[in-house]
Amino acid sequence: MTITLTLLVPVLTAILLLCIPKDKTPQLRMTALFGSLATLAFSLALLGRFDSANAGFQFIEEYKWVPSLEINYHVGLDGISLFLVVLSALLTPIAILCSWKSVEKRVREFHIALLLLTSGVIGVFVALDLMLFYVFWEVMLIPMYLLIGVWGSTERIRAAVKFFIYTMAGSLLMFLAILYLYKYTGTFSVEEIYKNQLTGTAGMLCFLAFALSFAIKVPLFPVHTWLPDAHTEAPTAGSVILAGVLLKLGIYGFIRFAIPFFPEAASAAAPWISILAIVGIIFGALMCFVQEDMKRLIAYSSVSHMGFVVLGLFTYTSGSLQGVEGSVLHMVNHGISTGALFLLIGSIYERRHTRRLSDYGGLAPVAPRLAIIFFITTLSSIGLPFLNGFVGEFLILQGAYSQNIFYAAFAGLGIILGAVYMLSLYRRLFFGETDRRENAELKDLDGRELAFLLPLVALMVLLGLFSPWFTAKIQPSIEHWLKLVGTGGG
Amino acid sequence: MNNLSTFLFSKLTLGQEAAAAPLVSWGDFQAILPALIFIATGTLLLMLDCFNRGLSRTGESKREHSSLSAAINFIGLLGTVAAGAVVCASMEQSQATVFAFGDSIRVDSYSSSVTLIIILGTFFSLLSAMDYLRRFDAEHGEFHCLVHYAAASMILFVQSNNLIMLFLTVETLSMAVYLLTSYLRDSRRGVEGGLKYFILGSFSSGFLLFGFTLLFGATGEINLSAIAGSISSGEADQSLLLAGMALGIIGLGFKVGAFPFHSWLPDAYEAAPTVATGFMSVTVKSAAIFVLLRFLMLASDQEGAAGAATAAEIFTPVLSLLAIATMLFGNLVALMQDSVKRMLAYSAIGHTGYLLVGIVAALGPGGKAAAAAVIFYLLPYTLMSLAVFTLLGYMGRDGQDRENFGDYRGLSTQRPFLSLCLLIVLVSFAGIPPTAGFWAKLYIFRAAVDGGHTWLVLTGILTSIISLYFYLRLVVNVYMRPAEEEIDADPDSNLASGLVIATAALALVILGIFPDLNLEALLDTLGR
Repeated sequence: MTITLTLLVPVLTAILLLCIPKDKTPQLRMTALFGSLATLAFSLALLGRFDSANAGFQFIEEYKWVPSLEINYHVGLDGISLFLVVLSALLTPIAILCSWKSVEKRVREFHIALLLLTSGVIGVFVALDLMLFYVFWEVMLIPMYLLIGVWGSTERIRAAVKFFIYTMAGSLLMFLAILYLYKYTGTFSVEEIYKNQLTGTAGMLCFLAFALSFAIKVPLFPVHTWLPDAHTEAPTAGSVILAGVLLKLGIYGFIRFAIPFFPEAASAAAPWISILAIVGIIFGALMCFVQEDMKRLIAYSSVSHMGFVVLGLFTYTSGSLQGVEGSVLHMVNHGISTGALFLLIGSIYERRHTRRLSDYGGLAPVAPRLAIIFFITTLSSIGLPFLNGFVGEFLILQGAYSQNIFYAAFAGLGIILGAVYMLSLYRRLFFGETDRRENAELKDLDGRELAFLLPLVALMVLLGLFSPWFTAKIQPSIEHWLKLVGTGGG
Repeated sequence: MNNLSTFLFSKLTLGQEAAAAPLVSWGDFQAILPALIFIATGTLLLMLDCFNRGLSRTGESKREHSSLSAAINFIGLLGTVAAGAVVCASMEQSQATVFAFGDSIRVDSYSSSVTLIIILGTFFSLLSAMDYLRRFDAEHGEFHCLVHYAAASMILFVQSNNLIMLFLTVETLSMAVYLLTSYLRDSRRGVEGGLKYFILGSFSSGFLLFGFTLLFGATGEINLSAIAGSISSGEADQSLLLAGMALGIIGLGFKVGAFPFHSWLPDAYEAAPTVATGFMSVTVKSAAIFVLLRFLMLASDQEGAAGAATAAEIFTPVLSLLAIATMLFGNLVALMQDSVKRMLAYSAIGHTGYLLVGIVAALGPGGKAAAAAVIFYLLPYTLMSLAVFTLLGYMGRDGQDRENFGDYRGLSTQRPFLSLCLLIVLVSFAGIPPTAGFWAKLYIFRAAVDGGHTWLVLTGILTSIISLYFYLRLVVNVYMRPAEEEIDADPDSNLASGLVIATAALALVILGIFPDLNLEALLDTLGR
């Protein structure tokens, strides 16, 4: 029941919000916050009761949903999706807190969209029925589209439409592949399809349809172009959820669906995807150097980071446990550190209303708390040991090295470039002369901002120091998965 | 001529003579009771309206006028509800196929399902017309009368089982709809649209009639089941048969608005008063799609017949092409429209394309699921279309519809619930879950993929992506652009319209989350 509750609480809260008059802003915010905290509590209950020794799906619930089309409400969790669910549930209250002051128009609709989005993404992570998954996959599009388009900045409409059409184009092709898969296997159940893997040309075409949809979501070079726009124009809360959770959906889709459904096609395509991932790593990093807009810079850094994750994932073809594990961990890590970066930039933007880097400089003496937290986050993002970023990147590099030394070399180059652009971002923001009056008068972080930033900082440290506790939960599922795709154990 | 009528008469009564039953029995009237109720109510309303005519709308008799108008509205709605109840009751009572009037009427679970959809569409149209006509100062009883007559002939149209009935009913319904199109007779646009529709419509009736003649010539039968039998036994003259079928497809393709025969549709939709547009787009299309389905299944529904297979085989590629062209044309042209009403008209053409995909799938093996999918599609489509056209009327003022995209700017700040309903309807149009529109598309596409029509589905999916853009364009205006002026649509004078929109949106979401509410019932009715 816990999974269903985790899914339902945000929806119910959203319905509740609909009943509150739209001008009662504080009540609306508090209700939404409580709803999202309840969701978080349920997801933590899942985490607490998760059995690390069990490699299969847990907390399974299965009911008939649309019997006439043989679609079931079938949900469950394994080690791969566990942390992604918790991360999604964690980022929602944070997103609500960070919009406490910055979102002033249409507060009710904002929170409804945010909560429905949460439900949608959690649904994607827990769905074990292909059609249920597809429904959640599409359901979350509308709230995200509205978040960007209604509460975004100046170019928001273009960005929102671009986001929507890109994503829908991918998912509709996947829809066709799902229908074809149904024709072939006669079921929508994910576990049944695992036993009935599709091969040959049809398998390849279906894999490509799935892969395109997921690659757009990741986003993989060269279908990444919606991301910088969407990130830049979205409100802070939108960017946090986008970076923290939505980008992970694509990777998760590869892990849960595309690769195990069509292992033959996936391993045939793996080198190409790896190369695209590497291009993404380097391209994203290089693009970061020329960005004047802070949010755009972080957006391109996400392209680079997601390249790492994809690279790590596709080392599975050589049976590398580390690579896959690293990529699962790095998804969570990237969610935390990039989420935090967007929150910090959002806080700065709220004070100064500009995202241009050249408008800043010398913030460190003015706002020490901001400077410290930003620094820790930067270090986490560039993968300093003892912080979370390191663990994932290290495992991915290890996996890449065992597969192809060139992959590892380019990935290493990407990490170095990452350190350079992140540190130079930090330098331009915080060091130098405090030559502008607005900067000199900048207020430091207040209690509310610390309330949503400190938990993330704590997680960065915890994930860095106690990574074995996390990998222990992930590992059995990945071993099981490697057997499933036919490269494990050998 | 005389010979022909004698011959036809003998054909009509042949079955009866064999059974030695009376020519017309009470049961026959029972079978067409829903249509009879509509005809009776329509006539009653027309007579009531005579009393209303003399009353002026100002001064003392104003109250009397409006109370009489209210009575007309009420009776009209009551008649619709009664007809719906009759259909429901008879479906409840027996699922068996009933033939009436010497096989010329066929009441079965398919036609009853479509009849219900037509009645639902009529009911909602009448409800939203209450507000619309009052505000546009066009409350004449003949609107109701025409709607009722059209509904009656549509019901008979879907129930007809012989060529003569088909032709007579399609003509009656077209006449009513031509008149509805130019109902606002003082507007130039209305008259132009109506005339255009009328002239092109007469052409298509000519095609239809010629096609029916050839079919009759090829098989010597006017009864649809008998024609099907003759086709499957291979007795029919192939070339005449194919020509007849082709002309029939053209005639019916015109009525549904399939691509090369669509040119009347945008003009007629634009010209008609918005409530009538909603009515037409929903009921006429449902009826015509169903008849097209039944007409084509003549050639495929027969088991193990060599001759039948060829007819289906010959028409499958033609119809596939028609479906592809319709989907592409409707959605691409809708992209370029600046008027919301025209955009919706072209998107209606696009939806005809999706329905044609289902019809193509219904021609192949496993056609039953596809036929069910086509009928399933009609209910969400009815709800969406009616809701959106009602909303268009809701927004209208000073005798003008608000047709430009820009007119909808900032609607969400002033009417949050109305905007939410519109969002749901548009999302459903685009086929995105959790709305009923998604399941409608899913079901049709699944049937088509099962039937091996991957290309059709691929086109359907690509055009769905295109369609996102113009549906979103309205969402962008409603939600993302700031309002330029106060939208002064008065909610009090729009109570019934608001009800229609809200009900439709709610139904779309409920059906979107629990599609089996309708699907399961439908499949039970149609037999799996």
